[in-house]
Amino acid sequence: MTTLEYVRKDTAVHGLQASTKLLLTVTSLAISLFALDFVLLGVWIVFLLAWWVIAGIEFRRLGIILKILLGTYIFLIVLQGFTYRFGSTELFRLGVFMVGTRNWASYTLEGFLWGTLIFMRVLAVVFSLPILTMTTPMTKIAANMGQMKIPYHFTLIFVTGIRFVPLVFQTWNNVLQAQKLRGRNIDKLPLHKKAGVYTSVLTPVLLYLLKLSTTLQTALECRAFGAPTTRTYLEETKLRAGDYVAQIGTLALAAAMIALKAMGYSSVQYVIRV
Amino acid sequence: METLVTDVQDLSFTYPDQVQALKNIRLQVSRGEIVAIMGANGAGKTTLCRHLTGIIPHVVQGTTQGKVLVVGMDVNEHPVHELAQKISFVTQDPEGQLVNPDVLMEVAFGSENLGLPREEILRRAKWALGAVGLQGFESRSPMELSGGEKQRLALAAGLSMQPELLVLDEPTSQLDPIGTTEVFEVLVDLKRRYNMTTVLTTHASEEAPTFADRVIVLSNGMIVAQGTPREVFAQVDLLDEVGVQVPQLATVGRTINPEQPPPLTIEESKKQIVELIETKELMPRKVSRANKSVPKEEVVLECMDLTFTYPGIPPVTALRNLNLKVRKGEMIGIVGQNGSGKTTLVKLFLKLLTPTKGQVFFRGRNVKDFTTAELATSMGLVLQNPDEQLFTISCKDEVEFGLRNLKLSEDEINHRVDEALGFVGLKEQKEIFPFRLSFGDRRSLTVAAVIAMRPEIVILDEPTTAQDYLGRHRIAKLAKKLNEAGHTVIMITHDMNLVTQYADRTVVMFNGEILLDGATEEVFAEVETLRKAFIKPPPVSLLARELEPYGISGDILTVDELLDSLTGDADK
Repeated sequence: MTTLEYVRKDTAVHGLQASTKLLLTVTSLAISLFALDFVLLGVWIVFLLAWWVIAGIEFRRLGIILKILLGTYIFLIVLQGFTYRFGSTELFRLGVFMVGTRNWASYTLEGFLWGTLIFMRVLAVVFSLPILTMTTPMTKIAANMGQMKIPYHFTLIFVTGIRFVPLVFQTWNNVLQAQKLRGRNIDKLPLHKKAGVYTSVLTPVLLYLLKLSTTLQTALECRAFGAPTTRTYLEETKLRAGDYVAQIGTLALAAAMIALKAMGYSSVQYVIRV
Repeated sequence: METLVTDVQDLSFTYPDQVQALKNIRLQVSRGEIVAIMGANGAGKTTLCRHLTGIIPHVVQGTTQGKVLVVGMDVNEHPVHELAQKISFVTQDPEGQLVNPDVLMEVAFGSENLGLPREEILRRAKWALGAVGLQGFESRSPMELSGGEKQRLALAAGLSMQPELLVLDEPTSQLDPIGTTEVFEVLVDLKRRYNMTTVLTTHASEEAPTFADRVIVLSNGMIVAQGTPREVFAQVDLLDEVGVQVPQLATVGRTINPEQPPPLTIEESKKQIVELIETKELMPRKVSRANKSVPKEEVVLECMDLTFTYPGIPPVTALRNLNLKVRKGEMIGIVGQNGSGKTTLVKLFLKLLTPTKGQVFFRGRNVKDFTTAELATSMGLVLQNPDEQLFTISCKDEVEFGLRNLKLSEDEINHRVDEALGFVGLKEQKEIFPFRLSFGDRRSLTVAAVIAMRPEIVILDEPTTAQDYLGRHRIAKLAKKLNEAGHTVIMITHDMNLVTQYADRTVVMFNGEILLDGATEEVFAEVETLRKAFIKPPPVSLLARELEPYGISGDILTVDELLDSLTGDADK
């Protein structure tokens, strides 16, 4: 899961405070909710990708994210194509399946576009995540959350949760590796048999992670996590000029887009009725 | 009056599965004391540590009788995070203790939770990293470190909290010999500078006299001996009976003069032996060692210009242009500092990693032409962390797994399961869920699962970590037995007593390169070069060098060889 893991680099985005990048994530969520339009979401996605470039995040990771989300996209356009209630422009039909006045076997252009728009909404949020997680050490995120007066217990659950993601993948690989070391020729198995192997790997992975979570809990408590003291944060959380510029720029663009949408702007005249 | 830091009153404890782990323990530890708790695996050492830190009863459940008072607090009445303000606990499994993205933050985490000033946190972190030899690692991810480096980091994280009581559960089990010595020196330094109290469990009998004020020996949950190291290690028969290793020098001393208290330092031992030589009670002679030269058999494994770099920012080069030939029937010990590339090397043998440069050949064929599973039928590899290698619901299933992949008959599978579990002393635990075994037994189980497959080459990556004295020798003897039966054996270990006793050839690695490679006695004669690789010859070997002017062979490696040289009879 290196797609979301922190990568140490010396870029302008790495130098920003976590709160600036958290703001970008929250704003992305707002855009996906309140600026539902092809052009507006497209502009926002391009805006996010510009952050990617500045942050030195390789575009191959974009491919990984899109590959992971491809199933979601197919699901959305299939589902919406056949079920979108305002669909009227038929592209093709699989037969006739009338319920009331509607043929549910008819695939519509409006449904396809609506599915695509929902997918763009997902991308607008998902593309903002690597900008936070790949350029900010977890400790910095924790420190900023602390500064925002978010209870430290919540912060630590968040941080260790993210720590667990690579651990799940690492454990998965370790168990597969252990099985290979006992002569299980997984690499040469046909696809359907590989699926069976992966199912058998799941149980030990879960058991190991359960054990690990107890060890982790013990380790945290033994290091005075949750002790009745005022915690010190080693990470500096003071905003600098770059943070102000990035925050103002992000908020200004988001406000303009949401205002445009609120004033009735729509890039495609016949598709969407929200 | 001495201040009591720990007062354990008639403590008994039974786990929910009715295993009674502690029986009527009475233990008082005064401020500034360093107490070493020793005992075989399963003796109750970890359970006692858990009580001292409040893990029992707050995290681990069971039935407790008696009382545990630590730094003035009853552990029953205070949650772990409150106790942790005064007590620091480092467990034996470093993997689950590391939660932060880089080494510096990991070490600072505890001090941050204590609310210390920023400058003090940084000062302590720097000091603790220096104390465990991890200076310069600050920006590295803990996930990228080797097993031994992770253990050093977990220890640094505990040290940096500078508690009133430091509880360490086998803190050096994965460390190289000089790293181990350095950690114990740090404990002595902490005592001297801060009057810090330390309770630790350890199998390090050779080092215990150098740092411990008191040694407590547990057996079956009971204290069977306690006192100064000298008092405890004088009870050789008792220690043998309960599976605690007697220091080499004490064994030699007691054999040549049972009337005297056994020596614990090289100086004492030398003095005792020289006196006996001068009074003609000992007539030393040079002994010739059985020929352990490298056999001229066919090469089964060969590395050519092998380089491996772990990707990352910055990338870490673990191996540099390494060349190595392994011949059929050899028993090779690979030793070296934590992070010197030992594990990376054996992972490349089985294609678990792909070389950045160079090649690995198995019987003349490039390993890239095989899958890992195909290689595994000829090369059995037991990795360091057992918990990542166990994946079935019983010990029997665990051993069966590989045998079924070899498509053996049911009778043969059953025979080999019983044989392998018997070898590692787990026959009675056949139906038990592997994760219910102790850490040491889980490690033995992984060894059983691999040896049952009877691969041509057996590779053991630190198989003796967290094993008691008997367990270590059981695995090493098993490896030797396999070797005598024609298997090639490669053993990575930090236990120099085992290497010198069992390996015919020793490879010393340092910083991704081979520093020394040759017959074991020749390699261990290079004391200064070994030091560079954080390796220290066993005490008996150092003693023999001191005794060279008195007619003893300077290249002696084992207790038996020294006794043979001194008395002409190693079995006395």
